Amino acid sequence: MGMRSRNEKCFGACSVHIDGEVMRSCSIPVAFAAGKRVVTIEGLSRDGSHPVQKAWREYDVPQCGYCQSGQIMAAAALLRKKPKPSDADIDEAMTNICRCGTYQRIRAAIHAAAGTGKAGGSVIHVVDAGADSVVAAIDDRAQASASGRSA
Amino acid sequence: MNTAIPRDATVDLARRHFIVRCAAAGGGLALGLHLPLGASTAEAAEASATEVDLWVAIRPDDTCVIRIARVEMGQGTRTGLAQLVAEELECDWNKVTTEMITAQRNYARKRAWGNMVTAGSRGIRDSHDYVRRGGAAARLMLLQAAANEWQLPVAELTVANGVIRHQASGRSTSFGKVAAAAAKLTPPDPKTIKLKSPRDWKLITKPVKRLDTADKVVGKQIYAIDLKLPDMLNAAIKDCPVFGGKLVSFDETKVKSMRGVRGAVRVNDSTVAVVADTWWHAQKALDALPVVWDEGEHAKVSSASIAAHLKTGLASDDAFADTLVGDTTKAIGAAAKKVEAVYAVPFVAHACMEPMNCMVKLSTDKAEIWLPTQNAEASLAALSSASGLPLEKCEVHSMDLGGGFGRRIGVQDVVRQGVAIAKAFPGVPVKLTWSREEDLMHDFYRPIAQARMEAGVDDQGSLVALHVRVSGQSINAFANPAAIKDGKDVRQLQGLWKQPGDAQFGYTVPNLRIEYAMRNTHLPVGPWRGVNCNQNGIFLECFMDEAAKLAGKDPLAFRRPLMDRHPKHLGVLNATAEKAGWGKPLPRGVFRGIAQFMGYASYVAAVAEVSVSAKGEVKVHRMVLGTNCGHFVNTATVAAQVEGSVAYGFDSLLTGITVQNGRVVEQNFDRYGIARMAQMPTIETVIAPTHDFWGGVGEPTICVAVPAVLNAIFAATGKPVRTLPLALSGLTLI
Repeated sequence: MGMRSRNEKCFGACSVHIDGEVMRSCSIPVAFAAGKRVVTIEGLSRDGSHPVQKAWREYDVPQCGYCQSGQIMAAAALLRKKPKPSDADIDEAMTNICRCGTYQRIRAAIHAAAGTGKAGGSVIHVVDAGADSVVAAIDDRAQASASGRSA
Repeated sequence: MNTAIPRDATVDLARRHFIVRCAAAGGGLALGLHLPLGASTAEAAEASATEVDLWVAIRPDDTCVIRIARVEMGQGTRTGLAQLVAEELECDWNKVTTEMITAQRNYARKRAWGNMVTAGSRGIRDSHDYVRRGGAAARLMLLQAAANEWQLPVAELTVANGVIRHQASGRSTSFGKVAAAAAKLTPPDPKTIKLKSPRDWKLITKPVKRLDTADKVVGKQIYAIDLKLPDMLNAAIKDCPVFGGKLVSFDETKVKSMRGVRGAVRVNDSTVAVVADTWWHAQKALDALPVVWDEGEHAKVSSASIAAHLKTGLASDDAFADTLVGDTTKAIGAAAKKVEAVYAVPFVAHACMEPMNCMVKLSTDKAEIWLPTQNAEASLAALSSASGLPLEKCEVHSMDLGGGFGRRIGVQDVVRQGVAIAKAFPGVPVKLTWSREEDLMHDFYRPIAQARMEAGVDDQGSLVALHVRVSGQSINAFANPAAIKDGKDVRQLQGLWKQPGDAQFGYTVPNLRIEYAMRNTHLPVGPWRGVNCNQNGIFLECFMDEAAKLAGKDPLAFRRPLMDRHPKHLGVLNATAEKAGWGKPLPRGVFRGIAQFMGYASYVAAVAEVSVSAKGEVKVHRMVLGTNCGHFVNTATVAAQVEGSVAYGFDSLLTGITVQNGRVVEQNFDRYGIARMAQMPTIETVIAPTHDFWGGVGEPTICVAVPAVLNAIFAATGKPVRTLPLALSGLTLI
């Protein structure tokens, strides 16, 4: 059928489900999909109510978003096979590339969608530099602009 | 599933040709929808909203349309800027929507919305003041309109969540009801507006949800590459594989009869394109097109010859010293202990997920382009000059970007190419899309660099002398020679500057020499997320650990006394070390590394926990990364940028661009490694604000993420990592 194994040049943004399996549509000839059930991100749910999509919103996963349709399709396929995935399962299944680096939130959203009870997501410590440092002055005070020294 | 007949554009939500072909075969996957693409739709949106001032328009249903002049490419600026305006506007955050200002609109109103460039981590830090004043001015006008209607002193009114009240009489109204009257008032002088104290902020600093998430999880987010216009054609492109080479000729007759092909076009003196009905047909024909190149004088250049060229800059006489304190030569000569090391980092590519693309439609009196751009005004200027039409007749439809990272700022190469191709098809929209191979082979790479580092420590283990000699390619020499004053290209020493405020060197060393020798190559270079802070951060911070080892000191303890006069550098380093548990026991085989740096007006630090197997497999378990960006707008967005910086930094550990026969070797992701889920550590973000300045967030952290990992590897193996990517040092990232 002309199927190639995993295309190393593909980064997975085009992932779709074909008869329930996650596949990278750029690597699949149309003939292979003929007569099969093809589901894209739009078909996962019409209103974004799929548990994976809900978790993606809860964790504000996307940055630029370009890879996220594929990430969501890969996650949804993972959960169908392994409803309670471990971190190792996630590492193995989620090979789609994200250049913005949303991996940590993807992992957390998968755990949330699966209800594994494993906490995750962004870990944020806001260190109080002392109440006195919350100054009323808003103007930049230390922004000496150095001529020619900008990125 | 077709839910609407688009007026001026059809957008196929299906992402790739496979799906498009299914749709064409009756699969019914294509979904049309309205898009704010043309002036007509922008005007329609305007008609329903009343412009109160430049930054705020309000609809009768109380929806607040906040205008945004910086693009969204994932960094969260759209949400952050809206938070800044909404804070002062006192509107209902749940009724906020945003509208992108186009470059043409900004031009027509004499740049009323200011600079539109979205780069240099400047989205928030350069516009926080005027956008907040814009929100405040609108609030004052809306209040005044209500006061006028009720014939009451404005001072007696209060406002919250978009509702204006008069306590004594119990009257209330909403923004939507008074917007039309407010719009007729003269806006207050922005300079007279008193902004809120940070103590009173309700929205700023809060991790409100991003405004762009919902569309991105259901496939509704439209990128330029997804656009379809009626009767459009598609173009594939090939630039001479050797930079500086020329296109001699091509034989169009060999591909003219191929399926869907409309023609081949000489784009410029080094580039050819094929235009067809679909991109796939265009690319197939381009691959089959016989092309004769004159590869020019650089056809023999290799990574080895480039490395040798840079090496000549490590001890040459042509360097300039940007920092010169004491006498490093003498001090190192007299030091109790000394160490010298040469570091090398490669070219690195941006590899945006959305390949370079644009759609261009030209007619005799109008030029339009749809594209992802970090500088829509530069795109407008390039569209005008390339099309020959005046600015007034040009329109840039700036679409949200599938990644930017510096690739889509100043060099508007794609705009000029797109226009040159579209000129051959007047009146027909032509979408140019680069293949991934073209993207990696014709990027504007992060500059290649080497550094010779020398240090001397005294018998107390204190650093008495440091000599930094950077040799490498200059971004300014390639992109902006006018920025080089008196032959001194200070930009290449970003992060090592003595001047405060932006990217200041954080140590006090009695004998200090920091210098740069320019060594250019034939590869084009440009800003890559973090720009020159990347390599300078590696050179400085990794070598500081070598010096600490020489001194027999803990890396943190070695740095601290050198940072007394740089309290903000030290503050974030201490905060990060504390949260990371620096000095506390670790599992067997796990080692820590630390780094600090300054860039984009923010102070950053990182601690990495790493183990290295006997086979050189590096596993990064946990990273704690601190930032003092002065004020912050949204903790969740700051964390997202910190997490993203780790991933983008890891890519540069894994990979680099090499050159053989004058051309780039890595042409796709099979050879150009990108960090994946399994390689990522657990990341913790420490926000340690001092609330007295506004610093950038998108870029600074990347400059400590990499050296912290390299220093942890050094701690684990006892062997410094001086050459990247890791493979060149016998290491892999697992």
